[in-house]
Amino acid sequence: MSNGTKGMLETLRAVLAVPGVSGSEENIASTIARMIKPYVDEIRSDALGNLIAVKKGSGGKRVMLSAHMDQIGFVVTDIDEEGFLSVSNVGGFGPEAFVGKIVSFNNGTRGAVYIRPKKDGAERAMYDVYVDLGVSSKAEAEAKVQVGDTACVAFQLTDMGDRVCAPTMDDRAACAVLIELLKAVSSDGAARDTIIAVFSSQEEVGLRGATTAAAAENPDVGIALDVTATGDTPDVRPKMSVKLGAGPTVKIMDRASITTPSVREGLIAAAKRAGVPYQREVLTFGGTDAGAIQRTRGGIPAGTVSLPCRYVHSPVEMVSLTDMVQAVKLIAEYLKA
Amino acid sequence: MDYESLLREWVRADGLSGAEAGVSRVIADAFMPYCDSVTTDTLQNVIARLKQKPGAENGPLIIALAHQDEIGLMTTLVEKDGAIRFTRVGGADPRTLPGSRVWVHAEGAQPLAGVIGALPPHLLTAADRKKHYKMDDLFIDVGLPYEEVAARVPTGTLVSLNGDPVKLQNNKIASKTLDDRLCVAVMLRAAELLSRVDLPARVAFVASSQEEVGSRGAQTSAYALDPDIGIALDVAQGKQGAKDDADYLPLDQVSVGIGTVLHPELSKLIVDTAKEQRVSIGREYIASYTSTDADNIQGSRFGVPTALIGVPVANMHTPVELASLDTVEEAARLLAAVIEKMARKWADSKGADWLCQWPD
Repeated sequence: MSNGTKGMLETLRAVLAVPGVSGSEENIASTIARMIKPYVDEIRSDALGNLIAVKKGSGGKRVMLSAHMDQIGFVVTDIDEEGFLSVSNVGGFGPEAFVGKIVSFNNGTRGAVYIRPKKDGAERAMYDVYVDLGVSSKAEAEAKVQVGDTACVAFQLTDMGDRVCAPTMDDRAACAVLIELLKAVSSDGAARDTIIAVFSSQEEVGLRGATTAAAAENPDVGIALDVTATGDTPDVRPKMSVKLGAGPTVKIMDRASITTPSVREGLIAAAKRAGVPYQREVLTFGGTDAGAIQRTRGGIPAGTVSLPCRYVHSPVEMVSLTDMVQAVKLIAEYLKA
Repeated sequence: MDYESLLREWVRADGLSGAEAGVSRVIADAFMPYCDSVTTDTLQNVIARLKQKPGAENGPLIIALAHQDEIGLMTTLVEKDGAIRFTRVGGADPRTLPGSRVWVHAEGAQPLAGVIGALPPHLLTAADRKKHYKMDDLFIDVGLPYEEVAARVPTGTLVSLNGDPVKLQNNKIASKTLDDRLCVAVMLRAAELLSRVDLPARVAFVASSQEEVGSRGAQTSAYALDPDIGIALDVAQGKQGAKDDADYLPLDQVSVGIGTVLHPELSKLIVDTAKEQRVSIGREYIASYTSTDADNIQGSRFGVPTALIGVPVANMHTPVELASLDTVEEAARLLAAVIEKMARKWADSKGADWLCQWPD
């Protein structure tokens, strides 16, 4: 391992290990706050649970960099007499996405996810999914969790070399990139632009944290840092040109935003100046915080730099450490222009 | 106004959602003679402020919006045989795309002509015949081999539909992108008519951006302008062959929106004005969201009283959208008269009281 991938892996591991389903980001927020404190000038949170840090520049633009710290997961909707938990999804995924996995609640309680057997080929729905806490009564279950508590797939990281696999790469991989960027900028002192680093909340349920953070901070430019799907796995649909390990992407369009042309060209120019391999990305589903930032107030130029990620919204999200390190370089260069 | 030549110029100008700069320029030029200023903003909205009459500074700010952007496609991948895969920008419909001619807007070069093919009927099975094409089944052929396509058409290249206007009988026209440049033409003609009136109001005409991908330009321009009244202009579903449904309006009526998003006093004012001006209208009842810029105007800041006027178009979101140019003129007459009436009512009641009445 070289070129900063080792440090990146350590940072990644630290942010992946802490749960934070949308709306319950307090643990991950305080973890990240501790990690970035030495590298920023101001740090605060807001009513929606965003973590906002400012690194003052030497003039230039005020650039909001937004990486969401919330993750998809389950919310408990009911507890039955035997202590089984009915759950619903927080964020977008299907009923079978996490069957057979261990989930973890914010208080450390763990449970096994399973699904009722299929009846006569019927489609399975989220209400067929349940969590087994290993208890035998409602009272025992209620001593551990309440209706409304959230749970995410338990942390497990597999290091495959340059590629690493874990749940919640969406979007902690980008949180790690933003943390490493703050470190890099603080050590080389070369950034001209002021960075408003937003570790945003509630992205997975509709870009809610970025909506209020952008309105409050009113930056000159907004860049979302997120993961994107790839087109390089067997028979994947829809087809797309993005490949894992071929460099970070500059987003052209997704369903929440069309990147402001000046931002798109600025990012591409920065990639070229920094010698960073980059990919042009068109994602035909989903969106990022850029969609919220762009539509703030009278309009804010906005774009997205993405990390290619295989199997997004599954327990085996896979990213490349080199792509992550290159993303730091790309954005650091953009901030100098 | 010569709507036919105006539209010929405007529908050929490039203006896919998020890339409206080309059409912005020609629209801005057209509004200039009637305006104090014509500017564009971060989201590429064109904001044309009508020449203000003395004393109008105390009147309300009335904004009218019609979107300049158009639906189209964007490339996602080049296959090994040179076939270009694509996704939609806005509501392009894969059912109607086979057999289309398109322009592939390769960066820094003349657009490449392309076609979207379809399997010949000879090669279809009985089961195939019952199915519609999906976006994933379709591709663009520009006639070049893989290496050259890959070099000239990077991922994210914009693709516009090729559908120049055809003049039909009875002053009807069929073309791509009548949605919504037809209504920008309505605004332009209304600007001309209003320039001759001593209007006690400030008026801004907005050729809005990114309507087809979620009314994004309307959201930011309504916020920035902070108007007293908003009027959205958009195409309505027009009656088309063999469809006898009350939800579709005849092409010779101007449509007036009535519904929860739209302010009842404004809808009433429009209906009354149409009667006075002898403009033939059809009412479009919309229970929930209008799926036009009206939705984002109404919800802007503390809320904006909003109205919706439209021109019926058949075959919407195809390269042969069909409308009547006579109706464009009627809609423009109505819009000008409506803005004038709103301004006078505002002056008479010294503000917005007439929009905030309790039921008797």
